[in-house]
Amino acid sequence: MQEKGYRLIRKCPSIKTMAHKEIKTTIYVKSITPYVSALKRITKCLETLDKHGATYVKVLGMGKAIEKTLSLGCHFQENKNRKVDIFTKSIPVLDEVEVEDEDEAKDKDKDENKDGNEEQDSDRETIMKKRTVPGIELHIYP
Amino acid sequence: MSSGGNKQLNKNQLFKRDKIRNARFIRAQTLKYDNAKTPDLSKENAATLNVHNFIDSRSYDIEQLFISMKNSKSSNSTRVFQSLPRKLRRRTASHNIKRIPKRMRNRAKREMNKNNLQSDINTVTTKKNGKKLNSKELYKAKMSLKLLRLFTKSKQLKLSISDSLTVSTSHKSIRQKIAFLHKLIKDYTKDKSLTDINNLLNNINGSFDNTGINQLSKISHNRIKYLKRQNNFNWLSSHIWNAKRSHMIKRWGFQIPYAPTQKCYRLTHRLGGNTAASDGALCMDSSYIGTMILSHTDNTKVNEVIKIISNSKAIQSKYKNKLYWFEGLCYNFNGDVLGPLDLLWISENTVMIRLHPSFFETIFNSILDYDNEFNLQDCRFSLSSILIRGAKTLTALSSIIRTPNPSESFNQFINISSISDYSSLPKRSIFAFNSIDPRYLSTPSPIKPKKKTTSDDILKLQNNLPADEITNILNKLSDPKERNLSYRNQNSLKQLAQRRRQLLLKKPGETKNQISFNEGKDPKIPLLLVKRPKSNDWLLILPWHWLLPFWYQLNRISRVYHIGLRQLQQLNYENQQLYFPDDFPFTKAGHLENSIFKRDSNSKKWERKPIGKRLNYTKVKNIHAMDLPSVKGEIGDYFSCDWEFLRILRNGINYLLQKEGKLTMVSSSRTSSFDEKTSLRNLNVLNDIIELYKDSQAKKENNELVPVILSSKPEKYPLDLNKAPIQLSIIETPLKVTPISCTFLEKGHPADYARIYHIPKEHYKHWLQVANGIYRSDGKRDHEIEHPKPDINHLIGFVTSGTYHQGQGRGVANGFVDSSSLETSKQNYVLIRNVGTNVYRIAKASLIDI
Repeated sequence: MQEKGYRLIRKCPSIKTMAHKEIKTTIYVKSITPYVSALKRITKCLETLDKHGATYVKVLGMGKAIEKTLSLGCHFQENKNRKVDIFTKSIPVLDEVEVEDEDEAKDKDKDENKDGNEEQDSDRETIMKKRTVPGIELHIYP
Repeated sequence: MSSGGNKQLNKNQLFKRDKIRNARFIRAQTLKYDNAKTPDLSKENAATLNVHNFIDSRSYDIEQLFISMKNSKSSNSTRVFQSLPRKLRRRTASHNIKRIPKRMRNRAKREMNKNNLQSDINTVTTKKNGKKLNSKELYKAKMSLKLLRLFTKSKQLKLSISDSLTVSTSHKSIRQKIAFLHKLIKDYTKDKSLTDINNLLNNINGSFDNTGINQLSKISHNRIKYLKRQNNFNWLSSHIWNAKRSHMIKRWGFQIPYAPTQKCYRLTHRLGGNTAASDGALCMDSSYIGTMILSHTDNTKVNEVIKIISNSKAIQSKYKNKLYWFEGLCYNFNGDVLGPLDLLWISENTVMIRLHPSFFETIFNSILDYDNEFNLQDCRFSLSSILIRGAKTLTALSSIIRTPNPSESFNQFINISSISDYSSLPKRSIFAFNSIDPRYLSTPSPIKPKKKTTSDDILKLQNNLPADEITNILNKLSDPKERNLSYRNQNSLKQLAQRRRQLLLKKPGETKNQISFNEGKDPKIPLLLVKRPKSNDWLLILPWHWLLPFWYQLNRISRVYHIGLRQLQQLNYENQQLYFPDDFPFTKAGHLENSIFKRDSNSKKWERKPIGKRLNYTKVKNIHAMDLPSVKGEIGDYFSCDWEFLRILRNGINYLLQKEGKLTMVSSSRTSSFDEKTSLRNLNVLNDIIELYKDSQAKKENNELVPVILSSKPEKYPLDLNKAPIQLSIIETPLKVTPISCTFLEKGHPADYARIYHIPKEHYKHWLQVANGIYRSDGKRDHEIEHPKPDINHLIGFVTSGTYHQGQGRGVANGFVDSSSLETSKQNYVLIRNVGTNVYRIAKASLIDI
């Protein structure tokens, strides 16, 4: 869904902060992540938990990837008999948007420009806008 | 004196004996066997040995055996060197006493003597050929020592020799240099007031601002010892550090780190790639990219120049007034593309331009020719930069940078410094502030933001940019006097050690990690830290002689690794971006790189091989569906992207189609003919075009003209048929090429210079099926299908960089194709064939935004 008056240019990733333990024990599930490779990565992560001093593997998914994340959780809960905690979250993300001019005439000019010179996209001026996305967090214990 | 019996050992000897004994002792596990409860572990039943159980029961012993082997080996042969992790090992020739740090030399000598390594020590004291110095050599050695002494003295007196001793004067005899220094020192000691104040340095290290204003800067150095080695290729300030750890390459007037001596292909992919799993950073001294600062009292003049060199892209108000960093293509004054361009507007009248050294001087001179009122600073040797990327970039920088005074921009930087995935930061992420000498920190440690970083902190970057503060610092960076002022009282290592010693006197509770900043005395360093929007990496720009302190501290941080040009190329490839110059065949530098430097080295490599072991390119069979009589085996040049061939082929096909309406491969009735009047080759069939290419190769005159020009999007263009003679226009009309990135859909690894083909219409259905996947009955992909082959006229381009892509897990190739051959809207599939093979792979092509 797009807000009126703005044109979406780019969706930014969620904010990730630098901490060694976090990086080594967190897995982000994207909508394009293959299911089996996510499974393998979680399993591998579970094996090396002690090395990083963590007690669980954190699996995060947001938006479209929630379903996949949950089904990963279910797999570990049902098939592997692991303890899995599930938390719902709302994650603030930033969108890079372009402010659309209300003036129709200008819009038309722009359209013409677009046809003539499409590569200008990267040169357009953009602003960041905040948006909240639902997300899910799994804690999978070994 | 004891007679016979055991000799009394001293404490040291006792310790050593015990050490060896302990090392040789192998521990064993005592196992209690209760025969009733535990059956023999080695046996499952009486007849068979259970290997698993048996090994498990002995695993402790085996481990101890290995430990003991290792210990007893090392306990006997200790050296002054510790055994370091692989990454930290770098000193070669450790048998050479002179290479060992002075404080360890005596011990090393003793250890070597003990191990009868006399010969190794001897190699050091005499010359290689075993002769002593003759009188001429002795004289020379003495004189150079004298020169160094005089130089040190002049440095101690803070006398500037910057203008008098430069690379251009390094050919002067040693006696002339000595005489010059003598006079300088004598004059100064005689009457201090006579010495021009401008000739005095403001620090003991010999740092000074070396800027050429409206002229190219004279290359001078504060270490006279290494002056002569830099006649043709200059050292970066981190050269000595890098030369110990990287392979260096001499290019474009600089010695640049090419690749670390340590293997780092996967490391570069993991840390520098776009993954959430990155936990480190990669840094490179990018000072070889030259900076110039352009200013003029009349801002329209500045605007005009920037309009020309950026093809009117960098003059938008976004860049001009709002401190956005510009990344794009640099154009010559005659409209040719030269290479990449980085640019930042400091004010309406002033711009900072960063250019690759291969065309820095071209632009510099053209700007001066354009208008002589410009104030143009050549900052190649007065501003240096570090390029950093990877998740730990911001954390690492926040651990070495401290400000002397409170600064809004620095606060903003600290607030976001814990972010690892910086692609979520706005396009304009720019920080500029004063910093204190980073060596004041004994151990670099990150400043943690007071609260957890949220999206509001990022929005603040966008909405509350302290523009005045940033512009203020930028003005300082772009002013030679201010840059020079930043070196005032730059501490030497000795002075730093003294100050650090005083820290020990501090009371408990007071911080001992940092030397406190002395407001009136200590230097403030103007810094610019900026995120480059397209490359998605960070640039730290600072005065030239401040680079090394920052570089040393940065490389002390864990998981921060140095890289070289090779890794930059790898990262560019992985991000499916173009790397200058290898992926810029439409520029002069790129053309030379491809058709001269790389071609030469590849062909020589091939020629060195014995005939039996190298591929005979002329005998590769079944490359195309139909063999032309003029082509034997592989087409075009084997060792580079043969743009010349592509140009003649595409232009020729274009011509034949326009003339005849259809394309005939070869005329069965007659061989090629020549026009009687002009004695030029008649062009009727495709075979004639190839012959034309051969003719042009035979009388090749000008190698330096670039055969292709860039067209960033697909476009159809007709060949001008009216030009005469048509043969010449086919050879000379430059071909328009478009950059594409091809991802393989099944097996196969593309290599550099691979040929890109268009899918023939009649085969399109087949290849579409292959793209969607043809499966065997067991559900696996069938790779054994016979594919139809395209013809030579389907060749549309070449791969400039291609290999197996670590991130995608399949082959990816970046290359250029003829712009007219691309479909604008439809899904683009192409075929890729490596040089010297006849296997075609289907790949999906997407345009690269340039």
